[in-house]
Amino acid sequence: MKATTKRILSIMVSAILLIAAVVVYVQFIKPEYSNIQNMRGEIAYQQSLLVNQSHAVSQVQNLIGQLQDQNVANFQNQISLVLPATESVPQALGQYQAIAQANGLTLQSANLNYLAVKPAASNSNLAKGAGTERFQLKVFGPYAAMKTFFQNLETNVRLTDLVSFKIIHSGAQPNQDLYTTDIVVDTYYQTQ
Amino acid sequence: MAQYNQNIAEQFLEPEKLPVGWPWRLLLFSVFLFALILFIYLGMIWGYQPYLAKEKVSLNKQIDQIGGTISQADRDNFVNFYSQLINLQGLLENHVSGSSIFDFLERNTNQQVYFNEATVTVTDHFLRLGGVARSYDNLVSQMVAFEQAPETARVVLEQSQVSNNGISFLMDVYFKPMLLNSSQNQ
Repeated sequence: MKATTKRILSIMVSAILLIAAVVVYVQFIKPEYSNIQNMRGEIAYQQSLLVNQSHAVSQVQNLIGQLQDQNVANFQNQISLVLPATESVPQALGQYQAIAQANGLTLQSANLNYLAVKPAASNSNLAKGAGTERFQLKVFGPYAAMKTFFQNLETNVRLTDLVSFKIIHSGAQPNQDLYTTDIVVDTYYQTQ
Repeated sequence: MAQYNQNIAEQFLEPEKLPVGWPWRLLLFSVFLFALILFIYLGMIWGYQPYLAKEKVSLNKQIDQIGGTISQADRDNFVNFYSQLINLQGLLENHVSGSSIFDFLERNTNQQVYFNEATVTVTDHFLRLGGVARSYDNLVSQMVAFEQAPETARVVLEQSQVSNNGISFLMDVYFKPMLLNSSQNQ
């Protein structure tokens, strides 16, 4: 083979190899690199998620540890008296009856309706809403007792909100101190 | 003249020769470059990509495992307690003190007026009073007293008429929210 032919051949082979290198880079390496970048992005996200979750879990474990402390458990029990974790209708009705009786009023009737669950007033999706029990009570007795009854309802252990009431003078004489009151109150419970 | 011809012949008839090693060096460079590119590609698909896939699977596994480190009972207990606190905070902010209406009436009722009916709607801050006044002067005094009270927003006389005992009336009193909202009272 002549020297010039060898030269031409080597130049052609070089050119082919250079073109092949460019083709491999464009056709194979570039798309693979893009895939790898995506995977690295996902891994970085998962790593940060893992760190955040580990942090959150350790905080929750810490809080759960505190919940098992006697003082916190007592506090939780007290909170459950104000906003019980179940509907606890007998407890609520028993309290209203006891307040009426203690003030010298007669509880003449009591009806109950359930309202829609109120969503928790928080941005967190974790908190569950509060259920509402609407009681319609009819009580009978003197004015002063009625006033104290309302004050006691407001400060009742189980949280009670007054919705409406209607007081009608029920004495036979205009100066007879006897009234009938229709009261609508809302009380709440924690939904599960 | 003969000297010039010789120079022209040197320039045109004998072209400049490429150095002998140049094509071989180009070939070697091309082979090296192609091999390097191939090595990088194979390294990516057989080495780095499987390593990243393995890393991803391992992270997923760790994330799944970390969720199970707290028992379901503890989780429920925690969520319930947290929900109770959040809900209680919201409910206490809107807690209603309806008995303040009794104090309001006791402070602002004219001696010559008595009420025989009162209806309160807390959400509307509204009180409807039915009663009897000795005279229209007493009724007007009563309305003025209600209007001048800082807790009221508006007083409307719905109806009034002379009856056996005096002037029977029906009056609407609209309160400012501060009267019934216990959190604003404090």
